[in-house]
Amino acid sequence: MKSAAGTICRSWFTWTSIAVCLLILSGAAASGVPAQVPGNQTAELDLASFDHVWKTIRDKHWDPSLGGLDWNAVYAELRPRAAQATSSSEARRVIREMLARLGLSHFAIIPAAVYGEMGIDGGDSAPGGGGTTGLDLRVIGDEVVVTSVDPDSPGAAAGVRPGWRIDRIQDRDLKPMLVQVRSLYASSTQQQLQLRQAIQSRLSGPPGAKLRVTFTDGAGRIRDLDLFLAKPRGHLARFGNVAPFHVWFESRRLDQRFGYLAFNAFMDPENLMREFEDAVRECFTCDGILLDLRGNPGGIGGMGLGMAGWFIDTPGRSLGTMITRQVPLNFAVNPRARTFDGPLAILVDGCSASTAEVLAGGLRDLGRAKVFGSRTAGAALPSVFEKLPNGDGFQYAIANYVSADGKPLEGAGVQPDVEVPLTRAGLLAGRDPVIEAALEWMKTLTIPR
Amino acid sequence: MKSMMCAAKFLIRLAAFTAALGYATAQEPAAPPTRQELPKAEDVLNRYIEATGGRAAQKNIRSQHSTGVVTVAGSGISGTIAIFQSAPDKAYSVISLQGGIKIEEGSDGQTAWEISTLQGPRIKTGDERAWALRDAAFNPHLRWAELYESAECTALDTAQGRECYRVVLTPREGKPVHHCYDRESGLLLMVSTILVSPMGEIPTETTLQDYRPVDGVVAPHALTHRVLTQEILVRIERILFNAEIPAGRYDLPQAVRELLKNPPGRNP
Repeated sequence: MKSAAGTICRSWFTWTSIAVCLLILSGAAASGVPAQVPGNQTAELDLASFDHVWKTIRDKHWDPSLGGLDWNAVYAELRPRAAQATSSSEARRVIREMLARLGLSHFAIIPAAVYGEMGIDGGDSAPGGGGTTGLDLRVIGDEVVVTSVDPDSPGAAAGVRPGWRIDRIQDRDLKPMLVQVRSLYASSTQQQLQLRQAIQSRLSGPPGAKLRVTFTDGAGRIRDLDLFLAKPRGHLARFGNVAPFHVWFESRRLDQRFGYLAFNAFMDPENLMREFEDAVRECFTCDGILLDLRGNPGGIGGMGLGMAGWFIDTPGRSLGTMITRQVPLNFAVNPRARTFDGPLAILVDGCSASTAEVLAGGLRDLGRAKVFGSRTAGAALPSVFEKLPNGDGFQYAIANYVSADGKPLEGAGVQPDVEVPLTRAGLLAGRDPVIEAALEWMKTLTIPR
Repeated sequence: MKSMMCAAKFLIRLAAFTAALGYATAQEPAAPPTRQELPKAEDVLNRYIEATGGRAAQKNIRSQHSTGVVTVAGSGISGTIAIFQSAPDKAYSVISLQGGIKIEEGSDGQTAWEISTLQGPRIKTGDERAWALRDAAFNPHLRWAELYESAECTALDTAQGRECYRVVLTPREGKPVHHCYDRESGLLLMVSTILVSPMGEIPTETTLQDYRPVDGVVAPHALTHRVLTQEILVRIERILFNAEIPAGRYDLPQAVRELLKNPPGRNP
């Protein structure tokens, strides 16, 4: 009677595809809040947090042997200290010491106050709400600098230009927060990513809300501007428990013969995969394609694999391998019937993360692309954030990822072939030195098209 | 008639066997049965056929169309599934998930393919193709000897908290498939195997529940697929046997025909 059972068991490969898709979601997804312990005594909550972290590592780490570390012994040694902690900061120190025994990046405890500031948890303390100023930014040196302004956005309407410095948001100086986040991620490749997220969190709110932002323009003048937040650019994408997200895609020609493709996240597959396909098909005869993944935090991993299929024409090639607790998974590329075989430049920076890094690093390692810009975030693992019972944030990775060259991306990122730093002066002059460097390279190639 | 007699004999043997086990349990902790004490795989498979409506009823079914809903546990992701299948070996299924992810799979008896929003079209080869073609076979319990090289009942196991006979079906090409049939009811409780795909060898497990009669045949209406860390639940809402299948349903899609005509790596 497989006519019922057998048929309904069909699509096992589909289940596998779905599972893999979900497994490699962006490293910045916030997960659910663990069950609270009864009572609200600080010490109880801190101890419950210690236990939660210990159990999570035991049950979810990709390497059940934890590289030979005796995790039970770690528990036996440190739990009494956690139980005797007289303050949350002392308990936090013990938990961090426990995580440090792993000797791995992307296992972090984030104090509750900072966790809220960073806007990761989407909880009460995270402003969010879907409205945007239309400004993108990076921290260059000690300055928060506008790197782009969406057309038709509140920022554009107010006359904000790339290169302007952001000094205050709602009359709050940004410097203390920069110091805090910098200190927290002092030795992490994720510093730029987390700084940008923390500031963008302050620049968001409900559409229509007024936000007072203090800028310093190119001439050194202070500009206090009221920005009325608007709906972000692009399609509103919804995907499970991931917060709704606006996704945009841009495609244009540079110097008439080079294709330029950019999008802000690997989300909204229905629209983005079609737009990407159309853009590549229209560019089959281009002299080169620039794929701009700067500021792209990743998203659905399967989308990156699907996009790679437009540039890799040989079956059986993988962008890399994800090592899960159960099995290693090849990130196998499925080549399309026709692919783009001209030069490919991928533009990245410290805010390119997860799927963006997997795609850029994999295509480079396979010898298919040259990478321009600055080192990526080194957040290629499906790491998740959880809110602990005591309100602190807990970040942990649930798999390891090794790029096609055999090296892990986590904590290392993709080092560009051509390092091109971003400068405030360049932005103020209306230049994009990363695009310029990529174009310069492409123009040196003599490929008849 | 022959099959009914076989089933009757099997049930008698099984009754004697379970009674003996029951007695043993009352006296002392039950020892697991030896290979010799286990029923033959063929008998377990035949019992399943009888438990789900009988050989004659199933032979009368030549096509089916099922629809249901899919939920990925803990992720907030859900969608729909539709499955079409016709004797002897044609199949098509489509899953549409919230967020715009659509995955189609099919087989016309020769070519097994997949088209997904994320990865585009793909033609299955090797073990993956062999699995897909077996998976597309209609009434495979009636045809197990044709589809598998061997079937062996290897253990009295547990699935869904119930004792079940583990039957290992070994195909000529590809990995063995493990079935677990309820010792009491004869129904299939669990299927597990290792899927060979371009992503690697991935262990999967499916539990089947909520068996209900549809047109004289009993079918599971709830399935839970466990793949890696994910649990995917399928609730079948409607099963139509001998359904009218839309014309061209099993034709190879244009994108798959294009791939067959121009395999990757041969850019024009």
